[in-house]
Order: sequence, then structure tokens, then C-alpha cells
Amino acid sequence: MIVELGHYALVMALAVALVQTVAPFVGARRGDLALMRVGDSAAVAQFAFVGLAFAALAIAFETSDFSVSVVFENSHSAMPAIYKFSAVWGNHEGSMLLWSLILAIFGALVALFGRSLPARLRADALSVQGLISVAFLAFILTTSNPFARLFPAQEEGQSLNPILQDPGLAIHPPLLYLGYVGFSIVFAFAAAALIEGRIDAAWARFVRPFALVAWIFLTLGIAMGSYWAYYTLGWGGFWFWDPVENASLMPWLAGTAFLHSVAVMEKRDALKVWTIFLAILAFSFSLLGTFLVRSGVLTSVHAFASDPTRGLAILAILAFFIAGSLTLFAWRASELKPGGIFAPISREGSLIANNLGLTTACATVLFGTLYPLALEQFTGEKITVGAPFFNMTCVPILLTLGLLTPVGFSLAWKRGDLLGVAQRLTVALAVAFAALAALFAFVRGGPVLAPIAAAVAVLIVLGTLSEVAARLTRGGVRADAILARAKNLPLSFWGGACAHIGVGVTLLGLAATGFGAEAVISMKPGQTVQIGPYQATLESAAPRQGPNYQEMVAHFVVKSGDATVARVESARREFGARGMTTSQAGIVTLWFGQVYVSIGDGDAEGGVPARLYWKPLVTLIWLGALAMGLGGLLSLADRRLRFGAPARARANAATAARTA
Amino acid sequence: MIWVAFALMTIAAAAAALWPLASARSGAARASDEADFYRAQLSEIERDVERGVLPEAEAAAARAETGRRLIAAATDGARVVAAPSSRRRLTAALATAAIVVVGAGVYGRFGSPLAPDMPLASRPQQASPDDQVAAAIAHVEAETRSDPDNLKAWSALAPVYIRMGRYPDAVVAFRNVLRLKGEDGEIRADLGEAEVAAAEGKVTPEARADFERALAQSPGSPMARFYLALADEQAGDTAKAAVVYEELIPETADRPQWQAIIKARLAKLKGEPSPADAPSAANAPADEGVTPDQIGAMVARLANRLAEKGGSADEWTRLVRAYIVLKQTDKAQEALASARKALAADPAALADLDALASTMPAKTMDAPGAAPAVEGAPQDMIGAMVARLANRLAQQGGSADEWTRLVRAYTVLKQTDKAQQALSSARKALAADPAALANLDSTAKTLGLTQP
Repeated sequence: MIVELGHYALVMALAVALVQTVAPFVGARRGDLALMRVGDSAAVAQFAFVGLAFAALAIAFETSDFSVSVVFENSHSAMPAIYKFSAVWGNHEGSMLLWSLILAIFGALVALFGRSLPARLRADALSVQGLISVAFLAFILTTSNPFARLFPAQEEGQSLNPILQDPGLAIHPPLLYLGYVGFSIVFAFAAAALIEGRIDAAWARFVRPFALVAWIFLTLGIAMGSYWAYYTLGWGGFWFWDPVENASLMPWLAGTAFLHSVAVMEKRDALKVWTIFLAILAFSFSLLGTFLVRSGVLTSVHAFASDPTRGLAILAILAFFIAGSLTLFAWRASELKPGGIFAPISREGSLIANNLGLTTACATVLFGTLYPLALEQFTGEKITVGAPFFNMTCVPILLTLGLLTPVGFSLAWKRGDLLGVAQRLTVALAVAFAALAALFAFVRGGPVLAPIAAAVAVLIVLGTLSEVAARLTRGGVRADAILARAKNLPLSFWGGACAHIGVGVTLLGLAATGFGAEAVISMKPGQTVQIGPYQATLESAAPRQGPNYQEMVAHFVVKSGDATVARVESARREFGARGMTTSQAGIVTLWFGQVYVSIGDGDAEGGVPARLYWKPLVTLIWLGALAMGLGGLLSLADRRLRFGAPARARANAATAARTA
Repeated sequence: MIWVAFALMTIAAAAAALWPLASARSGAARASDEADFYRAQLSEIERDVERGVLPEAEAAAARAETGRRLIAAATDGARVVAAPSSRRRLTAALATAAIVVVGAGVYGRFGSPLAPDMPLASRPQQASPDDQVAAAIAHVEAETRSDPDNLKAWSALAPVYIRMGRYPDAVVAFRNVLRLKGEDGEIRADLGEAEVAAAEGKVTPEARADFERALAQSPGSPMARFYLALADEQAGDTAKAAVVYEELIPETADRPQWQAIIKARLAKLKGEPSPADAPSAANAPADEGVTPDQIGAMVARLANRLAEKGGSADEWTRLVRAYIVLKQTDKAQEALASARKALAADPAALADLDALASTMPAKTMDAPGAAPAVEGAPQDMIGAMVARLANRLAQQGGSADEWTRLVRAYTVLKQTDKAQQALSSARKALAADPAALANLDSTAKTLGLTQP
């Protein structure tokens, strides 16, 4: 009964979403407040119903109800309870339901906490969000129904894949979906602005928290996915320019540009067209990512089982929303009144350069991702586009942007003083040049991109810090003056500084990957190998029995000179029944770098093939991502409480803008 | 019951959609708009000045800017109007209708309202023997999970996996037994056998290595030598393999089912047609296997089937060949004649049959009506049957009748010690059944077996 109740709840959600699409739209055109308010109650009801459906599916998984088709296909009674729960979204149907749930959550947030938003804008936005929900719910119910039943019910589930029982893998999809779907609300607001033919600071003020939340989750989701690949796949790689990875990078690039644009909109009422365009772009890339993963166009570890009808349906949804929104944009963008004027050399100017750079980088990633697919469709020729292409196109653009980052961060609004900025950044520039020269000298004949990237990273970090120092000391260099300034600087400034420093830190970690050491060698117990500044000795390699696997465990000891620095253990597991083998890499973090050890099939007599890596500063990659997330949170927290809104940071209603 | 829940949900959906339309005060309330936002900004600026956070010069600039925006917003927006109640009623009706129609239509198309939940815990446990066995196996498997060093558990699981055909699991189990027990030639050979079975009859390099180790541990082990020969054969070195097979045939005289297999492989190597349903070496039996009388039974079944329903040229050919190999020449001639009649329409098949007929030995060997010479003497055949019965009773148990039969058989075969053993086993097995025990005792007395 619970399963069918969940099923019916999903159908009710679709019905309510239909009402949510039509009623507020009509109300906004007629100026009818009651109709507009129907959007609010419908959005909350939709959330309640989708929530019920999701709960019902979760119960079916937890109780191993194998009469439900997806439970049979994706679960097993012997799975630990926590992984039964994560199996809910570990498949196509369940993940689409998760997508709809998050969509409904965001809609309800707009309805509940957007009372101070202009009624017409709210109504239009909820109407567009309702339309997106209708599309996805209809898609789910007709082609990917998680409540499809299977009778007679089987005795046991099909899937006990041990590789999927991993916490990193379990949390990765929800994080990413929160990011993708967050941009759908931003899109809804952008479409609403176009429909109304007006957009202003109030709009920007309300949309920014949603954009920030989406961006934070997308950043963390991408970082989590990359870290999981790093420790699971066994050769220390963390980014492969896989089409699905690119599909998450593109909305991130567009979303970052959007965040900056919307800040300009809020403060200066400028860059309106850019902002709307970027909102449409970010959501379009989210939809594109969904299509790539589920349509069968790709074969990848990310691809769900393919089904042409589903692929066509998603393509239709994609075409409708992207083409529709771009048409709307072309038709109505001219209605938007131009905003504040500014000189080319100003913060606004540098943010336009930022937008241009990020969208161009996004375009190169799009091209690199779609070109092989298109080529295969039209000529049957299979090629792969990987790191070499992107290193030549996307990376230089992003590095150039990196050079501009501290400059833009320090420029003033409206009319910037470039000379003053250059003076402030002298120290940073000098140090960066020195680093560049030193690295080139040190690594003569080595990687070219890495020292440049490292220099840019140093520039970003030091440049941001210089700006912070400059602002803090504006009132004088005495300690109490500095403290007073620190308290009064808006949180969004600290957030921006923290996020930019995070970018620099990540870039430094990425640059350092060009400087590591690698040894691939067959080792016997007692053998020592030099790896970077350390020596790694294989102490023993012995078989060991686990609960449902057999593994060969190799113990290494890492020394620096005579001192033992760490002990590492790496294993190769064989899961008997399926014959699947996984690598458990041994990773030990020493300061910011890591020694990474991974073994292959072998034993103590014949020699264990081992890959050992010294990866200096590699943890900075993910620490930088965390700093970016923290920066976003700080920015998000920059809301003055006005109407006693509840404590949930992301849900605070519009409050006063702070002029810089 | 579920229909009530559906109705409640539908009502809730409609209510949620219609709540604002019903609210009387919605007409009178003012909608917030941009002007409110800018007014709020102005008061925020004032508050910041009071707090001393915002210096006056910047405050003046901010006030001016916000004021400009406020004026722009105030002159811009159209006012909201109160909805006439006719429109509200129309909207309410349409929304409710839409909800009901979508609910009934979509759910009616895709839902299964009468299907019950079937969480695993509430499923009735079937008491079928297969399930019991599966449950027992699962229980032992759980023990190995909680205590991977439980030798007894692994030792119990390994042969069960072989019998069930779960060869990869058997490999894991045998490996664990070896790890815990130490090197043992027989078990090492069993491991090799499981690996071969898992590889569908191919002797993999790992299996070969295991057999060599087994041979080192138990020199002369027939199983290891057989599989190593098989590996040679699969590698192409058929001469060497044939030599080993020849050696092994007399050595395995006490295990007729193995002998048959080795003979079959040897025959195959030499190019002779092998008996119809002889097993391939990969299905090396543990204890039970294809005995000569089983072959006879299979051939008889084939003959019956072909006689009743007919069959393809291949099947007829197989039957004739089988009789040839079993040296039942007259039956072969009969089958040949029937085949010729059945396949009269197929000239290619007839040609094949002719070729086959020419390979048959002359019909002078046996006197007509003589008992067909089956491989092995009748004594062997009976011995094999008794051995099978003993095995079955030892592993699965049986009725009092069967135990009695076993004891009697041993007595007839003059294997008195085995009879005594069987008797005591029977007594243990049937301890719970006093009637059976009494039966057994009387049988023992009749046969002259003393109490142990």
C-alpha cells in the first residue's frame, strides 16, 4: 500500500504542478492577487507530494520490497541499511525522483520565504518552475517510473556491487543535483524577468542566495567526485575530461560568471542582459548534462542504462527549454532598461571581461565534449578529446582570467583607478614573477604549463591578500583601527576574498601535479624505491580474507633518510562471486602532499607490481574547493535580518543592499 | 482502504491549490512590490548610519541612488486588482477538475492500486527443500563472513559449492581451507578441479600450477596427473597426454566412473567416436558419476525417443554409434535399419549412415540373444549401485527400507564388515523411529549379523 500511495502522491504532484504553472501566470498577467497566491500554495503542496513519493520509495528500498522493479534491480537484502538508502538515487528512476524532489524543495522555499518579493515576480517565477516540474514529473511517470511493479516478486535483489558501497559515491549525486537544480530556480527567475520585461536590484537581491547555494553545492559535488575517483581508481588521477565531468564543469563555469554578474546587478543595476543570459546558459548546461548521462549517447562509468525513448524524451525537454528560453531572451531582452553607466576600467568592466572569459572557456569545453559525439554520429569515426585539447584551449583562457582576478577584485565601482591598483599589487606581482623565474630555472626542460600556473596561483592569492590588507588599513595602521574596519567590512567581501584565495590554492595544487614523482616497478619484500624526497620500502605482501572478498595486502613503510615517516597499506581485492577486483590505494598525507601507493595483481614470491607516486601539494586542490565553498557560505550569510526570518541561512528574505 | 487514502490526497491537493482563492482577505491585501523593497533599503541605510557603520558621505550617495530607484519603481508598476469572484470560482472549478482528471488518468494508466507491498521481512518463508538447503548454505556463509578463519565452515562449503555448480565460490572456499589447514595435496587438487570447472573445462595456468603443487605434495595422485595431461592435451601436446591417459586407465580400475572418462578422452584423442552421452572431462564427478549402466540407460532413452517421435540425422547416427561402442551389434543393426527408414527422404543422411555401417565390426562376435557385453563385469555393476546407495544414504539419509536394502546387499556381496558398518549407521540414522529400528533388528537377525 505504501508503494502505491507514493505512486499516487507523485501523480498528485504532477497535477498540482500543472495548476502551479497556469494559475499564477494568468494571475500575473491580470494583476489578480488571489490567482498569483495560488502559485505559493501549489508549490508547497507539490513539495509535500513529491516528498511523500520519495519517502515511499525509500521505505521500499529499506524494507527490500522486491515487488518494486527498481528495488529488485538495484538492491540486495544483504546491503547495509545506509547503502540501501543511497541506492534510492543510485539508478536512473530514483535519481530523477531526487531531481524532482530538490526542484520542489526550492520551489517551496521561494513560496514560503519570498513574501517580500514583488508578487508578480514571484508568481511568474513559480509558474516557470511549475512548468519545469511538469516536464520532469511527466517524464518520470511515463518513461522512468520508479514505482513500476514486478510480479511475481523475486526472492532477492540483483545488485550487490561492492564498488558502489562507498560513502563518497553515495553523497556525490545529491550534492551535484542540489547544484543543478538550484540553477533551475535562477533560470525560473530569469525567465520571469523576461516575461515581465523588467529586472532590477530587488530581483538580484533575491536570486543571489539561490545562485550561491547552487554554486556551493556544485563546487563541493565536483570536488567530491574528483576525490572519489582519486582514491578509488588506483592511479591517482582525479580529472579525466570525461564528457560527464565536463557536463558538470560547464554549469559551474556559467554559474560562476552568473554569480559575479548578479552581484553587479545588485550593486549597480548594470549587466542586466549578461545576467539573464548567464542564468539561461547555466540551466541549459544542467539539462544538457542530464541528457548526456541518460540518453545512451555516451558509454561511460556515469552512463545509466540507455533507452532510446528516454533519450528522445529528454532531448525534447532540452530543446523546449533551451530553445524556448533563448527565443524569449531574443524577443524580450530589448525591453530591459539599461542600467548604471560605468567606465571600461572599473569593477564592472573587469566583470564583463570575467564573463567573457568564463563563457569562452565554457564554449571550448562544450565543443570538446560534443565534437566527438557529433563526429561519431555523422561519420562513424571514433575519436577521443582529452587533456591535450583542453590544455591548449580551456586552460590558457582560465589562466588569463586568473591573472585578472586580483586586479578585478581591487578595482572600484564605476570608475576604476588602474594605476592605483597596479601599485597595490606590485608586491604580489613581484613575488609571482620571482616564483615563475625560480621554477623555470629549477625545472629546466620540465613542464611548461605548471610553472606558469603556479605563478598565476601565487599572484591570485597574494593579490587578494593585498586588497584585504589595503581595505583593512584604510583607516590607519593601528591595531584597533584595523579591527574596527574588519568588523565593518561586509561578509560578502570576506566571502569573495576567501573564495578567490580558494581558487588560487586549487590552482597551486593543480600546478604542482606537474612536479610530482612516479615509480612503476615490480617489488619484492625488502625492496626500496626512491619516491620524491622519500624512500618507500615494501615490508610484506600477504593474502588476507575479508568478509566477502579476498585481498592481497602490501605493507609499505615510508622513510625520509633514517626516520620513518609513515606506514602505508595498499590492497587488491577480489570479490569471489563476481570475480571483480578493486584497488584500495594507500594514501598518506605528509604536510600538503601525499604519497600514493597502489598495487596490482601479484604476490610476495613473484613480485608485486606497484605504482608509487609522490604528489606534492595535491591536497590543496580539494582544500581550495573547500575554501571556495566557505567563501560562498560567508557571502550567503551576508543578509541582515529584517523581518525576523528563520535561521536557515539560505532562506533569508530580501534585505538591504550594501553599497561598497 | 487505499481508495480512501487516494481520495484524501486528492482533496488535499485541491485544497492546497484553492486555499488562496477561498481566502476572503486576499482581495483587500496589498501585494508587495519593488517600491517596498527600496523603502526598506532607505530605512536600512538610516539604521547603518545610526550604528556608525556607514560614514555620512557614502550614506548621502546611497540615499540618492536608492531614492532614484524608488521613484522609478513607484511610477512603474501597475497596481494589483482584486479578483472578481466569478473568476475565482472559475479558477477553482478548473483547478479541481484538472487535479481529478490528471490523478485518475495518469494513475489509472500506470498505477497498480491493488498490488500489496511486499517487504522482505513479511514474505512467507517457503519450506521447500531447495530453500532449506539454500538457507543452510547461507547460514554457513554468514559464519565465514563473521569468522573468516573458520576452517570447518569453509571445508563444509567447498564440496557443496562444487555440487551446486558455484565454481568460483568453490575456488575461494578451497583457497581458504588451504590457507587455514596448510598444504594438502588432495585439497590442492580439488582446488585445481574447481578452477577448471570455473573456466568451463579449460585448464588455466593457475589450475595447472595448483595441480603441479598437488602432485608435489601427493606424488602419483591420479587426479592431478589426469588434469595435467588434460592441460597438455589442450595445449596441443596430445602424444604426451595420451601416454598419461594410458597409464591412468589401469590405475583407476577401482573408480569405474573416472575410468570411463579417461577412456573417453583417450578414445577421442585416438579419433574413435566416443559413446553418445559420455561426459566431458570437465564434469569430473566427485563421487557419483556416469557409470556404465547409466550410459546404457541414456542410450535406451534415446532409442525410445527416436522410436516414438523420430529425430534428426545426427541423433540417429549417435544412436547407432552408441550401440557400436557398447558392442551391441545386433541392436546397432536394428537401429541402422530404423534410421534408414526414418531418414529415407534425406540422401545426405543416408550417405552418412552408409559410412557408419561400413565401420561396424562383422556380426560374428556374439551369439544372438547373448547378453550385451557392458563394460565391466556384472559384479562391478552391482558394486557400483551399492556404492551409490551407500553414498546417498550417508549424505541424505533414507527410509528404513533403503537402509535394509543396503545391509542386505552387502551381505549378498559377502562384504560382512561393510554390512556391519551399514547396520550401525542405519541404527544411528533411524534412532528416532522405533518401528524402523525393530525392522532393522529383525533383518540383522535374519542375515546372521551380530550386534556390534
